[in-house]
Amino acid sequence: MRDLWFHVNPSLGIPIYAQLTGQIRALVTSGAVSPGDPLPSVRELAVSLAISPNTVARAYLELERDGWVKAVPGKGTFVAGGPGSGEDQRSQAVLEKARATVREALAQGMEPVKILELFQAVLMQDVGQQAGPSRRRESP
Amino acid sequence: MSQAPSPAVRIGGLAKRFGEVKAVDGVDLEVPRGCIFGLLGPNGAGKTTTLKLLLGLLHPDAGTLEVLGKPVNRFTLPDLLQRVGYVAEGRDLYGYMRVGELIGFNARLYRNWDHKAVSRYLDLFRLPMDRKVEDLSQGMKSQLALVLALGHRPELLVLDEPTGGLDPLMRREFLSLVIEEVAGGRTAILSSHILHEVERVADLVAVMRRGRILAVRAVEAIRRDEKRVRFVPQHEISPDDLRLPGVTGVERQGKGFVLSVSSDLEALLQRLAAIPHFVLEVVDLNLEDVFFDYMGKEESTP
Repeated sequence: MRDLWFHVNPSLGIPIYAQLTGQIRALVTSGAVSPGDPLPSVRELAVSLAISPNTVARAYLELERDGWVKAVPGKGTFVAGGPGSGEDQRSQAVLEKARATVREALAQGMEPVKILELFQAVLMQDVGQQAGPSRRRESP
Repeated sequence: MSQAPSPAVRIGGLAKRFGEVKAVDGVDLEVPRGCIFGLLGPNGAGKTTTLKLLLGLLHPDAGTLEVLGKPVNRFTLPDLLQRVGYVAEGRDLYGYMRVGELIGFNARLYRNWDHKAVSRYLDLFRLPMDRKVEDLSQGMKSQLALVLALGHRPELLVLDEPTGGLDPLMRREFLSLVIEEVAGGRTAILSSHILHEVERVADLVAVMRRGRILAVRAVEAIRRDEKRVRFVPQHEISPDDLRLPGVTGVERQGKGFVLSVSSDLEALLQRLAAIPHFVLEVVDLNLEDVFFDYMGKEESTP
């Protein structure tokens, strides 16, 4: 896996190890990388991002604990299937994003009802858009 | 049977004065092995003096100093320098020597000189071997100083404002060598006033001022925990109502408040959300914000 997949923002209010685990989980759930693909070594990734090797090691450790990667002694770290089936992974990833959005909205003081309305509005809009062209094709 | 390894550095009650000036005034500090430890503070805070005491280059007035599990005063200076690498801004190199001569000179001085690693570093930095040291640019001198400090593969690297004169690319290359050493299990202490450089690479930071350590923090924990919350309530409330768990400071600004928060953010937000308000917003703090907060707090204490 290329180091170019990764980027970190040290000034962000999210620990760097969490930025890395998020990016690696997203790569796995999106299918951009497959089980068995090698991850960069701790040393390589730390040097290429100019961060502490301990931070990379912590990210890999957490990912391994949760089943996203597998460390093979003497060989390196490899992408694993992730927790549960592919379907579970995808909904887990969406859930995490939704949770982040909801938290952000709450933190800005938005009422829960308003947040729900916004989600509904977005959903209606997007589902409507997807359904639109196919309906037209079906009824010439 | 494995014993918990001794820290790379353990300092207790360290004091050093120059005439009337207390350069180091009761410093306690522990640097775990295998980490990158940032030492931050304004000029004159006592960082360089602390590091020189650590290396046995100065003698303390009081306190205990242990390096790699052994009291500094039980090392002979040459023995200590075999195990520690030191880079200091403006440290004198032998200016009349050529780069290659100086490298060869150091290679004979150290038992564990790693010729292979050194030639790799020299390639990376593209240092001209036949140029006199005094004719090098400031950046090249810093690079050469690092090569000399790393050549004997020391267990502890002490870097005192090491990136002076380096452009951003050179600085990145410089840090990459330090990171590689730490990936190999060695320890690095990096004193710097370039906060964003330290923020990116350090595991732990100590903030020093007027000879004292004000705080030691894990940088990842600062990212996670240190926030500022802007809160504008709809009705007048007392600042005391906002001194909730996790809140370390309350400052009034116009009709609103700015809360400094160090923990329990979620619980705090829930409680604030229950108070009718116009604005409730969270701002992430970076190391620089936290640094200046510490400086400000110290300033206001009598």
